Amino acid sequence: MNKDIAAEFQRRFPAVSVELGPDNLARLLNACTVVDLPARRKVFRDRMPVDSLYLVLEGEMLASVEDGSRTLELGHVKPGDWLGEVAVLSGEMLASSTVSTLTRCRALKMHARDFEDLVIHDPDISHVLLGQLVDLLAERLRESNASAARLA
Amino acid sequence: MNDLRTFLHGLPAFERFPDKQLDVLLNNLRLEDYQANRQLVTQGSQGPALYIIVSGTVELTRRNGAGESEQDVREARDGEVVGLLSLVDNMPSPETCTAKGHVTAAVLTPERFNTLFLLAPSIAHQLQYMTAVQLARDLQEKNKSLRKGLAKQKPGSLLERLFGK
Repeated sequence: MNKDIAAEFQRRFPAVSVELGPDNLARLLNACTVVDLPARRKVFRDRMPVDSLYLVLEGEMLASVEDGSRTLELGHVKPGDWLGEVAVLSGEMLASSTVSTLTRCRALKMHARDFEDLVIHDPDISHVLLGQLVDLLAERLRESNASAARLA
Repeated sequence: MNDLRTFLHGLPAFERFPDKQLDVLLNNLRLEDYQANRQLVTQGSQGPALYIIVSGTVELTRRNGAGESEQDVREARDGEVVGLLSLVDNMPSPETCTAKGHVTAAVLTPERFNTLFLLAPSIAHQLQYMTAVQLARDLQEKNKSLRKGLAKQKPGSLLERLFGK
């Protein structure tokens, strides 16, 4: 992983970067590949298989759930956000929503197997990532609860 | 206390931890008995604590919307954990947990959980991982119910409900 990507990650994920420290950050970044995504591309399709997580570095995406021709917007995904963690941590390995790019985006992609290796076998990285993920998942669940309340 | 240590050591979530770490967990747990029909956690409210069921059965039920009947989610038995989301700030429980018959549980409050990060970090991380998994599963369930809600909507009414006319 080159220094530019490490610097970009530190800018977009400052808290994680500080908590990890340089060595752990290097190990995390080595488990990732950089992907560039054009605008209006579906990164995940609701209920379709997911095998990787994404850490968003640039651009904006939209998360929604779909039923037939109807769509309910759940929220925007921005730099510093994770994607795919719900599918992987729940064990379903299916997307919990559709995520589409609104602009050109850049992200780090990590295979679910590499993520599980880090979380289960690397306590230093696990502690930092799980703390972040619990906060992020809790926020997403609150957003989904709010959407459900509006829909009721 | 020795019985509870042996019990915890036999659980998949805690079997890999040495006695010293488990003793810290034990020192922060409180053993409680609950009579039948006692609600440990109420849907929509912040749970008071995490419960490791030592004996008995806890029934998990969920009401998907106002006016809808309560549905059985599952039953949790010896060795299972309920009330994990009590460890997350400002996170109402997605289900109600009720003792089905007499239940004995080892109770961990959020305050005691925070103590574990200092004294037994490996166990705190294990509980953090279990919490992340629970949140992810609840999010999947919530989005499934949102899809069902979408399917029930009459054409044209969705935008009005979400954003007003």
